[in-house]
Formats: sequence, structure tokens, C-alpha cells
Amino acid sequence: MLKVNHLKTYFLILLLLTNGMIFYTVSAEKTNNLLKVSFLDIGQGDAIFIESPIGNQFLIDAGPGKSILNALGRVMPIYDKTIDAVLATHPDADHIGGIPEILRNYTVSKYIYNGAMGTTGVFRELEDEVHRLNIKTDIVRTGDVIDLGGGVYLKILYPDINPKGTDTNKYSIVAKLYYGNSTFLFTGDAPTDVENYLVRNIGKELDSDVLKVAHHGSKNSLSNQFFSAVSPDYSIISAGKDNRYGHPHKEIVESLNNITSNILGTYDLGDIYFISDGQTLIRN
Amino acid sequence: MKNDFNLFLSIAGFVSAIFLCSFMKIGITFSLFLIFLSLILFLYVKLITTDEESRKIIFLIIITMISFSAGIIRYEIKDSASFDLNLENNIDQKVVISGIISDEIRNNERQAILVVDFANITLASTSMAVFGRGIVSTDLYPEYKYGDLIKISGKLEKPENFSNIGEGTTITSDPSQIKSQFGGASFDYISYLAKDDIFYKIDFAKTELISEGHGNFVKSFLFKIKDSFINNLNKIISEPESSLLSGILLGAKSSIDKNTTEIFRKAGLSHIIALSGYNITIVSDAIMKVFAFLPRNGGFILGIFGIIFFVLMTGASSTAVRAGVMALIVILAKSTRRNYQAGRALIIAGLMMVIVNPKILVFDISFQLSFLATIAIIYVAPVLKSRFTYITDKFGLRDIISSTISAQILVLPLILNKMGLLSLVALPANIFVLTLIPMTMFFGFITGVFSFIWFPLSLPLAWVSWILLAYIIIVSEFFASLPFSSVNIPWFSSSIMIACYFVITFWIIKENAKIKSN
Repeated sequence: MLKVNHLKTYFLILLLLTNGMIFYTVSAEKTNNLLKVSFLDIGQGDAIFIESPIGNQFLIDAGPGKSILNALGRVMPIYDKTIDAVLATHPDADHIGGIPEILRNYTVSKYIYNGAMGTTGVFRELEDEVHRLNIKTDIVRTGDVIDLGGGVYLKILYPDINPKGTDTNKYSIVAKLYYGNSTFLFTGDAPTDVENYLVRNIGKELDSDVLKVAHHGSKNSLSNQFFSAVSPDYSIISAGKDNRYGHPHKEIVESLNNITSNILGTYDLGDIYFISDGQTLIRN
Repeated sequence: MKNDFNLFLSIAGFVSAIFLCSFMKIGITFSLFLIFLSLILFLYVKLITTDEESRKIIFLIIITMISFSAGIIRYEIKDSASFDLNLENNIDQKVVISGIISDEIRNNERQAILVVDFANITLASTSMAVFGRGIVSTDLYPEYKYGDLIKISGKLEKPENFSNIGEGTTITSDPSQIKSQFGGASFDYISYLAKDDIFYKIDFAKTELISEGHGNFVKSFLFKIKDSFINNLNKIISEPESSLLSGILLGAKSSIDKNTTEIFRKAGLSHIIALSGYNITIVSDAIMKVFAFLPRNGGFILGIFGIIFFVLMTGASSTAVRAGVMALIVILAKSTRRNYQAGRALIIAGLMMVIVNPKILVFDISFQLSFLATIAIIYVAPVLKSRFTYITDKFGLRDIISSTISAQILVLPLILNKMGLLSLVALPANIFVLTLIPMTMFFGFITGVFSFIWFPLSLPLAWVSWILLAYIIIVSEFFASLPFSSVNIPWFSSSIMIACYFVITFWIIKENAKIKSN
């Protein structure tokens, strides 16, 4: 008799849990026509998670290591183990270090990169995994447009040539995200030369609401012209707390200060979330 | 009873010798001197004295001295590992060494940590065989596995101790997990590594695979199962919950991130992610409780299977085997209800372990935790249980809570000493968390098993595990975030710790005598 009662209790608990799970799923799936862009705090590196209004998930960079998995745990519901596409701006470990782990633990439909060949162990591992899992790859160039669904587009602004040589930053992908009136500019590790080149060629098009400051706020990506051309409302610096490179550099913060007061660092704030309905953009 | 006393005396002599040797150099000469002295005493007893009383006393002194010198000899043999000159002469030099990965690989967020048995060193383009074991840190990729023969290039160094690593200090130069886990006080890293015969390190090494499959066949197999088990868990459960599960379930050394580790440290819960008898004892205990309704031996047998399985799953490392043996003794004590025999079994088992590797007595916190937790469950839990009559006995709750608290009491001085951090919330945090550990392990385990059978089948189970794991993390975060959740107590020296244990021992003897007389 006692045992039967126990069974009933367990069954009840199980039903309750299932119920909770359903509510959780429903609330997690509610999309509200919102674009969500999250600059994830993964230490010294970049990782930007984008979710379009129809729920497509897109990741720009995932460095430097396994910490990206924790970060994804924070922005994705627990049952969701798929990502629509991962874009690697360039093959440095602080940008691609976590991608092999993502490919292993999530179902990724597409891998997008600039065609550059890295020489590091992690790059080879990434290539092997892409191969082994038969993931579709795309090499992108200036002018390519990626449709994220729900009216969200990612336009590639750079590179316009095939990467060569050992300077990986030089060919780092620069891309701009559009959703109605809201725009984001992602710069990877683009150096000053590239920034100036972009100002000369497509100056007007650079103007964005949110700028991911290039190269974690390093001195090598300091172009005042570029900052004025972008004239961001928010500047995001993705860097680790007390990192050994001294990022972000004082000069960068100072010149950004002349343009916008909203300089946000993942090293201070942790994850930084934005949402937009296409009209207004707010930091969440 | 008299035989018991003699046995106890010789064990005490042996163990105290090893204890002292761990801190100071005594040397074999001294033990030879003791043996010589005992010989003289022996002759004196045999030939000269006739007084029965003094004969008895001298006999006891002889036993103590002989066992004491045996302890010294055992320790000296372990400590006298011969150093290879080809390695010793190249300390602080850039070297190229090949060697076999001889233990499970640990990854932290940035690097892979390998234990390598060196085989060859290349000096001035000639290759020479070398003997020695080192800890090597290298890039996360390419990934190696146990038994791989690899080529290592880097600077050969001797490990160094570190001291007073406070909160928020970044540790980059020496990437060992133990540092982040026991990072509060100064830490004798040299001895910690030496207990496993590791005397060298190569940091930030460049490595390259030469060939695979040089490891022990059984171990390779066990690690392989463990790896795919963990991989499957990672696929179904998101981070950081899945790393926590691997830590709790398999003592997986990798992957729990620094933040989470720090949270557990503050909440006084570090032990749940360290492989020790602490976990496994609680689990085997719970298995028996849950299956107590089975006919007499059912729970007992399931408990034993649980332990053997756990040890195999963790790769049957010596740490896991020791933890398993301790847990078996607990099961024995519980099922026979004969504390006297279980206590003896525990002392003999502990002695055996110390004979096999005398350095664990002082330098292996996992051994110490296991031993103390076992004592707690055999001797302290019954005392507390008899007082916790207001806690419901349903679901074996009273048992679980009294086991938890008694283990807490016994490991507290050790943890205070090793970590230099008193978690003021440890007791409530442990009660809230540890009571759910067996259930978490159970669900985590069947999630993993079902994921091998059919993936979708494991999903509902994964959610249950996730809820439990998320609960553990939330509770830890809550307790860690309270103001004054922990205070630094760098003054908690080893002598204070030992004094604490004297008081506790005295209390245990008193309370158990009371129980016996009832």
C-alpha cells in the first residue's frame, strides 16, 4: 500500500515537472518580432550571439575556448542545441577557439569564414570537425548578404580580396547587421589600415547604432576617422578582465569618448544584451 | 583486547613516522639506530630483567620503535626516487623530450594539462633514454589521449610552490586545476606532485603526436568509455550544468570554469566536484537507503555494485580506488551494524593505502577527505541520528542529513587549513545541496546511459538532471553571494587543525561509549 502511494507521489512530481518544462518552452519560444544581439563575456576574445525575430540563431566568433559553451547556456534555452550558422571573422584562437566545441555539442548548419588558412592547432581541429560533420561552408566577400530571416540582414563589408600572408587580422571579416532602423557593425580584429580603407570607400555606409570595437580595443585598430564615420550610440569592447595585453588601450577609450559616452566593456559588465523591434534599439 | 592494543600501537608508530617524515628529513640512519636500540632492549628483557611489569613496558617500547623505524624506511624508499642526470642537468633549458601520456588529460579553459612519462631526450641531436615524470601544459588542440607517445618542446623546469593566492588573482603560468580549487592558502605544490612521482614541468609546450596506444589496455578502454559518456552529456545538457554533472558523477577534472569553481569554494562546496570518497560514500549510502525495502541483502549488493561501477567509470585511478574502498567499508558498517569491525577495516585499509604510497597521508587531500568522511559516517552519524528525532525518517531523510552533517564536521578543520577560507554558509549550503547529490547522480547517470541507447529517450531525463544541477548552482550562487559568506582565515595553521582533531576524537570516543552503554 505504502509503495503504491509513493508511486503516485512520484508520478505527480513527474507531471508537475513536465508541466513546468512546457511553460518554460513556450515562454522561451516567444519571439515578439524582436532582434536580439548579445555580446557574450567569454574572457579575452569575441563572441556575438544574434537571434533574428523568427528565431534563427547566428554566432559571430567564439573565442577563446570552452567558455563559449557557458555563455551559450545563458542565452539559449536548455533544450535548444542547434545554431543556424557560425561565422568566423578570422582564424585567431581568441575568435575561433571555441568553435570546435560548439560544432561537437550543437548542430550547426553552416560555417562561414573568409577563406584564410590558419596554422594553429585549433584551426586544424576546426577544419577537421567541419569536415567530419559535413557542415556546409561559405567563403564570403565584400557585398555578400546573409539573410537571417524576419527582415534581418548581415552585409559583408570586408575583405574584398583573397587572404594571403601571415597577418590574419588584415583580412578579418567586417560586417554590418540591419534590422529596420537598427544597425550593428562587427569588425573582428580589423587593423587601422582596413578601417581607413573602409572610410574611404564606403564612408556613409559605416554609420551604425552599435559598434563592436575592433581588436578588443587594441592600439592597432585606432582610427578616429573610422569612429566618426560609424558614430555609434554604443561602443562595445569585448575583452577579458585584467587580460595580459592591456586591452582596451587608454587611447582608444579616449577617442571613443569624443564620439559617444556609451562605452561598454564585457570585462566590466559581463554579457551585454541589445534588443530591437526594427524601430527602437534598447540595451537590455 | 591486549592484541588489539599492540596492533594499534604499531600502526600508530608506523603512521606517525610517516607523518613526521612528510615534514622533515629523518633518514634511514635514525631508523637503524632505533632498530639497534630495540635489539639492546630485547636482549635486556631476555637476559637481565625479571620484573614482569617492566618487561611488559619495554616490550611495548620495542614495538613502537620497530614500527616507527619501519615507517621511516617506507617513506625514505618512496622519497629516494633516483633523479635522471640527463633531466637534472637540463633544468631551465629548452629541451625536446618524447614521452607517453600516463594519466587522464585535464583541460582548463585555455590549456590541456598532460602527465607524461618521459622516454627520450634529444641533446645535441643525439637521443638518449631518460626516466622521469612531468606535468606538461600545452595548447588545447590537437587533442591527445591517454597512452599517446608525443614529442614535447619547451623549457624543462621544476615545479614551484605558491602562496597566498587570493580571490581574483589570475593564475596563468601554472595551470593546474588544484590551484583554483584549493587556491586560498599557500599550497605545497611540489609535494602534491611528488606524491605521484611528478618532479618536472614544461609549461606552454609545443607538442606533436608520434604514435598512439602505448597505455595500459584496460585503462585506455575505461577512459574511452568515460570520454564518450561525458561527450554525450555535453550534447544533451548545456553548460555550466553539464560540466558540473561530469564533475560530480565522474570526478572529471576538466572543464568546470573558474567562476563556478570560485562560487563553490565560497559556499563551502568545493568537495562535491573533487573526486573523493566523500561523494561516493554519500551515494552508496543513499543507494542502500533507497533500496532498503529489498530483502535483507538487496540494498547492500546494489550499493557494492554502485561503488565498483563508479570506480571503473572514473578510470580506476588510485584516487578512485581508495575512495571506493572507503565507501565499501561504510556499506559494510551500515549493513552489519558492527561499527567495531568497520572501524578496524577502515584503519587496516587506510594503513594499506599509506604503505602503498606513504605520501598520501599528508599530501593527498582527496585521501584525507575520504578517510575523514568514512569515520564520520561510521562513528558520528549514528550519534547525530539519535538526536535528530525531529527530522522525518521518510525517504531516509534523517539518515542522509545526519551523514551530511557529520561528514561536514569531520572535514571542516582540514578544509579550513587547506583553503584558508571559512565558509560561514557551508553547513546550510551543504544540507541543501548534498541531500540532492545522490538523486542528481542517479538522473545524470541514467541520462548518460539512455543517450547511448536512443538520444530522444534521454531528453526528458536530461531535463530532470538539468533542473537538479541548476538548483545546485543557484543555491551555491545564492549562498556565495551573501555578504560575509566566507571569511579568510590564514591563521588556521596545521597545529590548530591537529588540535581540532584531538578534540573531535575525544568527543567521538565519549559519545560512542555512551551509545555502547545504552
